Amino acid sequence: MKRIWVSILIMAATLALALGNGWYLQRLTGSMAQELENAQILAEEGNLDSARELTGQVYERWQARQTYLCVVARHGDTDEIRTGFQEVLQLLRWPDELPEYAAANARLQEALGVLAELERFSVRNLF
Amino acid sequence: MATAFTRTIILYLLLIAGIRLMGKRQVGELEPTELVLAMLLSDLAAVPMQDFGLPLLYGVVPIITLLCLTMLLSMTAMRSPRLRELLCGNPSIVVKDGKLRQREMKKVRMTVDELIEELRLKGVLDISSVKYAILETSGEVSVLLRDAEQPATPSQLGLAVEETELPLVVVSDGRVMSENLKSLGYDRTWLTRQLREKGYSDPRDVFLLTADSGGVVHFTPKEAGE
Repeated sequence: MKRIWVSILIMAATLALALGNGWYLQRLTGSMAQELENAQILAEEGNLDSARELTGQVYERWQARQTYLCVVARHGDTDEIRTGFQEVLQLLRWPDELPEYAAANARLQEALGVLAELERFSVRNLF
Repeated sequence: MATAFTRTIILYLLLIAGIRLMGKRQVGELEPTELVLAMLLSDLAAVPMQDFGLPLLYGVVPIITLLCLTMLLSMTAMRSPRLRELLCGNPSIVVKDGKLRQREMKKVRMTVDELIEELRLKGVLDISSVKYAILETSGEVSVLLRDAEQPATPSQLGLAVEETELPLVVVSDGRVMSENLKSLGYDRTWLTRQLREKGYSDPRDVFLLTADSGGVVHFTPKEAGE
């Protein structure tokens, strides 16, 4: 009887951790995408320095969670997002590159969204 | 991760259902749950082993889920005959009183050639000498010969024989198994005496020494150079 309960407990804990991970990742990437959106608004208003600073802060938040992200997400996906941040930060140095920056920023937000989507417990992901 | 967890459960149950539908013959010597576990575990471990782009958890979570599911199913099946029947099926009597039960053979999709082969592997050449041949849930065939065809036992011949005791390993490759020595009721003094009788003094020169509680000893020294 004890082994049945231990098995059930382990499975319940695994499921709880997995769901918790999905929820946390959703919240993390959602807030990052929102801040990137705010940075784009600043850039479109001509305030490139503030946009670059805000994007830089988001990137630092991303970097601070690298270990956790490498443990729970595909490395290819996290590498793509890191590259996306680099691209966006470089484009923010040049006022003439605003359209390219907007496109790169949109790709980066999408990549963040896809990362969270992959971890979401949904019927679509299940099948 | 939660998706990996749930997919593991779905695929595991699907595979068990598939194995059960395929029938006893395909199972081999394992129960369906064990067979599915064996099939899946190695593949699951191999994927993150080879693909460094995948986090280790992508293999660990399904493996842990599988192990817990198997434990859950096997422990529950122990307590529930109905679940046991659903998971493992029932044994089928394919030969009774020397006659082939054709309907049963058709049900388990067993051909005559397969049955004859299994009987031959059990040392049976004449079907009429078989009282029962049973296809077990593990896929093996158990054979019980008619009483007249079975070898005579000492009690049937009216012979008195000594009961044999279970021999335990006392020295294995030079190492003394103290627990076994103690459980047989012997001690190091007894062991030293046994070794001396064989012309040895050090257990490290012994490859194998077994003994039973009746005092029967089997001794194999190490070969020269070992």
